[in-house]
Amino acid sequence: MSNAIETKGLTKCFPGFTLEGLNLTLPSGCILGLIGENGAGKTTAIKLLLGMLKPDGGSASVLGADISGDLQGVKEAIGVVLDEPGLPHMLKAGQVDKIMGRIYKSWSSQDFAALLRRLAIPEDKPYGDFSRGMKMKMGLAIALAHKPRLLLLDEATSGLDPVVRDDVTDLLLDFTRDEEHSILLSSHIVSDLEKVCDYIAFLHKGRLMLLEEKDALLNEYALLQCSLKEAEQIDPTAVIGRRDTPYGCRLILRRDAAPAGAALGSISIEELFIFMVKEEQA
Amino acid sequence: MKGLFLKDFYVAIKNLRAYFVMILAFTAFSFAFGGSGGFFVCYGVVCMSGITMSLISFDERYHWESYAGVMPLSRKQMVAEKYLLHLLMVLVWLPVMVVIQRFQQEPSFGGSLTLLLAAGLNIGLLLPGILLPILFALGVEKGRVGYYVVFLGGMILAAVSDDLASAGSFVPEALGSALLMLLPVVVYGVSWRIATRLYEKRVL
Repeated sequence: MSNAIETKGLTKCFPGFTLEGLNLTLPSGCILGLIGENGAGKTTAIKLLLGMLKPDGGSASVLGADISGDLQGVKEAIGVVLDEPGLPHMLKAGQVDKIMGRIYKSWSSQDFAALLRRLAIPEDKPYGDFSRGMKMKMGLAIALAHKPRLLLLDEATSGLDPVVRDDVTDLLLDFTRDEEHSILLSSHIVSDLEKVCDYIAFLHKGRLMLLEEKDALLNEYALLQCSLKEAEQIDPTAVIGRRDTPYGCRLILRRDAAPAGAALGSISIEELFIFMVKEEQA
Repeated sequence: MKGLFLKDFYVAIKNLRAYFVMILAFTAFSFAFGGSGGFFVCYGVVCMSGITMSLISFDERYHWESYAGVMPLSRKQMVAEKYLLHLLMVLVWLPVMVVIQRFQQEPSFGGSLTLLLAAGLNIGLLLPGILLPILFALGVEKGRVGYYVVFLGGMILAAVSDDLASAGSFVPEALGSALLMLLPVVVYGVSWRIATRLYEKRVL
């Protein structure tokens, strides 16, 4: 299986922030969720992958093309949704169709019209009058209507109501039915990523804390509620997060290192992320 | 690049109608009242610069520049589209300038066609040639100071443009006209290259 995205030690320095040695791999046909708090470096990573920023170190390839080279051809096969598409506000759907049809060689007006209908995007309303949810859906329709093999979605679901988020999730799952199609989805809304992603990566303050298959991650770690005394007896190297409460202690730990007979609970990706970040900050 | 032209066409017909109305109004005045002097002849070509600058400003306001970065468009193409669009507008307007001059009671530039075209090219290409690299490098907000400086220079040039005819009498007319027409074209070409390089380095 080839990789849709591969980065090795990708680094970008800004005053006050550094994306440090990012090592990411997204196999073709999979969805990778890039989780991180605001300012963690998710947008920087996506802009580097698109050649919109020049890296200060490391290397990366997208759909087999080195990002230090000319990505114009590869961008035909990449659909991107930024936190808000930068369309001129007076444009209506028909005009967007005509413009994009002249920008993307593989643009399909039929697909675009079908996506507008499916996502209930009004065709007679100027883009500037759209709600945030509608704008995101328009961005997604544009990203999908030129038959991409890779989708890069940067905070595409933030600020959307649950119904719209569910529509978007369905669309993404449909997209990955083709095993050549891959998605990199960045968000700080972890519940959305948990629903659709095959792989999960945690990015915190510009550093990759973790990259693992979602199911393996959920199997590997567990939640243990115990007394403070019991917590002290557990191998500290197996504990990746700890929160003391008035009623005892909540630990996130590797299942294989848990004491025999301990009542382990399953953990969500969101809990895992929060525990890991707080542990890092402690 | 066709998509970029089309996008700018939609933006212009919706947001920049005031420019077109002004151009039409001043052209109509020049015919109706038989106006004289360089102002009436050159007003349209000054407006062309305003249209191009406004299109760049709208791109920035709508965050189009960042969005275009995710599309199969190079920075080179994005700069080229604006330069070509502006050049096209100026070239389309030059014959109109000739017609206006013919209808003037006291034809500007001493009735000289070559001086008229030289003035049109200088006002149409020289000022944007200086200004566009500043805007592509710094963006519209930061480049605003440059805009005012260049615009003021343009106004002064427009004010003295009628004197070009007499100034041109000191050099052989053919050579003077050729130099006057060549200068803005060379500046515009160099400006295009500089703007492309600066825009390729700019972080959007």
